[in-house]
Amino acid sequence: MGDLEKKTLLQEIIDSIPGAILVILVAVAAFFIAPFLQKYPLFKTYLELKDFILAILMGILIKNTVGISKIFEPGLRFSTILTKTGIVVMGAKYSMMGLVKVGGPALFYIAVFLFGTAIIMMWVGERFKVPTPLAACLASGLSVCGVSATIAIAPAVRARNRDMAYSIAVVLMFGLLALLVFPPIGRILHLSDTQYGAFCGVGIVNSAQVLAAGFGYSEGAGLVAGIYNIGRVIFLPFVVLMLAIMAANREAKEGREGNVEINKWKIIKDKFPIFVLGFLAVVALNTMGFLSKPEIKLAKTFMNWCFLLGFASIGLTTRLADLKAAGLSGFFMGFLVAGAKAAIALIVVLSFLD
Amino acid sequence: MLNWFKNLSKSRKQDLAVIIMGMLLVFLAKLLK
Repeated sequence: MGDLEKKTLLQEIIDSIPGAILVILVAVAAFFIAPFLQKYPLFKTYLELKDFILAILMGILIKNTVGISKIFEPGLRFSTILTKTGIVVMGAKYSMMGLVKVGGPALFYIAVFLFGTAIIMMWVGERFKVPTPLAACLASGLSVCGVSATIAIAPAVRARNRDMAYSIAVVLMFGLLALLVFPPIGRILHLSDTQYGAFCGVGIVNSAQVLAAGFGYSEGAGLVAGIYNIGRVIFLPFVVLMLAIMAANREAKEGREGNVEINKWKIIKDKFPIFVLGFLAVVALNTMGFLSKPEIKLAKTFMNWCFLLGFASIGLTTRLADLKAAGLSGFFMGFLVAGAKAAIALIVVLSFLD
Repeated sequence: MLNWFKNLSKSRKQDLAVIIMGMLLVFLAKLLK
């Protein structure tokens, strides 16, 4: 750790160059290969692999077959930053009116699904005697977001690194499956952009995968999925707080000394995703007429590349072997809850949205 | 000001960087078109 702390910013940048080049290569390859694949009926009709999805898949393929040398690792850490930057720029595609129109119902559906999934997962965990920290990590990951929510809940429930790695892997693997399965479901059921965007925004929980699945279907669906994604992220601190309280209660009920002091205000303040304010600022600028149509188009190109690079980084850091670490029962439990949630989301979307 | 920034958690610094980069890209789009 000492060496890491001593590194200068310049050294960090130099160390990141090989990984950054790899990320760019994968993103550019996905960008050019995706339209080429669309020429074949298999990919055009059944297995829709747009560049976003392809970037994730190509990254995973490289990471889990040939492997990635340590020299590339420092440059692969920017997936979250790139994806979030893309989300801020995405604000240029919305107006306040549009945001309120889609965002109002979105917040309601998200709240129901988020808290519902978290509560059900904790209940299932208790029934199947899954240790509280792992159950809380899974509940957090499967309801809010695989990576950031799992990391957020971990200290509050004293989760081990293995619990965290496992929860993140289950969520990412389910999202990966969803990337391949959701688009054909959308086509078969003739879902509208609003319906499909909501289906992705509720059914998938990793930001990159939600956006990749949404934009992979259509731009309109991607924009709706983007709003659901932001709504979900906003709820993160509140779900983490609820899970921390539930986990502490379960530990106390089972007679373990698990009483972790919970500072409610601190959890909400520390975990609130302030980058969402950047997104809202861009939406406000756009609503005030700050950007013309060609400028919005260029901003969209920037957004696409932020996402493409971010998704390539995510693929390049996804280890399929993490799934083996915690056994089959948790894997099935995680997939069962995530699958049930996606199925219910589909029914709700078909019943209540046009 | 500098102390305030130094005391921020890593995720907060990351969020600030994201907001700045995102806004810069939006302004760049405005400048280039």
